[in-house]
Amino acid sequence: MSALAHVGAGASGAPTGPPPEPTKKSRLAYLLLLPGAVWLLVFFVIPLVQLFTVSLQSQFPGYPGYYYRDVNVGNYWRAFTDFGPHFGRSLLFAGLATFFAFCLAYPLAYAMAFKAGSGGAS
Amino acid sequence: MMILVIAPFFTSFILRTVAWRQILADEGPVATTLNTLHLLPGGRITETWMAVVAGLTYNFLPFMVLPIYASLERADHRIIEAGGDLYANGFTTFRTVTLPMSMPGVLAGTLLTFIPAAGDYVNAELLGSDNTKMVGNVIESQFFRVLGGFPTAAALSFTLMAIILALVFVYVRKFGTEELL
Repeated sequence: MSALAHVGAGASGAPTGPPPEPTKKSRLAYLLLLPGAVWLLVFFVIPLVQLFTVSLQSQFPGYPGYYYRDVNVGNYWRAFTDFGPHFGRSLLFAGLATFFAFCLAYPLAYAMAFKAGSGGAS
Repeated sequence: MMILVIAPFFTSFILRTVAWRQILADEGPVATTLNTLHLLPGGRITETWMAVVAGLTYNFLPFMVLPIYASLERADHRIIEAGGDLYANGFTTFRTVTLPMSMPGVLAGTLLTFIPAAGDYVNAELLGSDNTKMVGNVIESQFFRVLGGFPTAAALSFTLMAIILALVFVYVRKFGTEELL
């Protein structure tokens, strides 16, 4: 039973008793996960949170370019009322581009996969 | 053919877009040909939505080709041949066998194209006009040019992110295979 728990990489502890010690294998997995997780935290999660706080800031009246921390949902309202057409246009253009790219790419990929080169030895 | 698809990556994204300005210019080959054939209603391509969509299509084409190619390459040719053995014609075989087998590649390709294209502003900036500005252009101008535009730019970014996330979620839910969600 104990040998089985060790093979299970510490994921499935028995319902009674303390959870088993993390085995060497699972520790290696966490070690491999670490650089990517740190990278994402520093360069993705923290800037994202900062972006969110900035998006709720308000301006000091009379001092353009200076802000204070606030919960100003008006920024989001402004994003929709002033720039609504831009959102629509962005999604429309991106959708059209995706559609045309798909129409161009599928025959190309098909030819590459089945008709050309070493891969096409059907 | 693989080399032809990958070759544009050896040049910078912005340089390629600037080159497209020359190709689509009023006196350029594309516009003059279409004008001679009277196929161009406005008389010009640059500074219209057509140029922006063409630029986006061109710039993100490799991201569409390579996933579809990878999924088609991996497909078992014997299964496709079996379609012919079962008296399906070429089109039916494609529709019922080849296309479903390549769906993971199609999904990855459309996501890789749509998500960056929705946030792209280089194409709209270089190939478009004021009437074809996209969200990316607004964020850029709010951030760099409008004094006091930081919160608006941040709110725009967040809204765009939320919209794309919602769309992608619906899309993957509808077309995705079970290993994605």
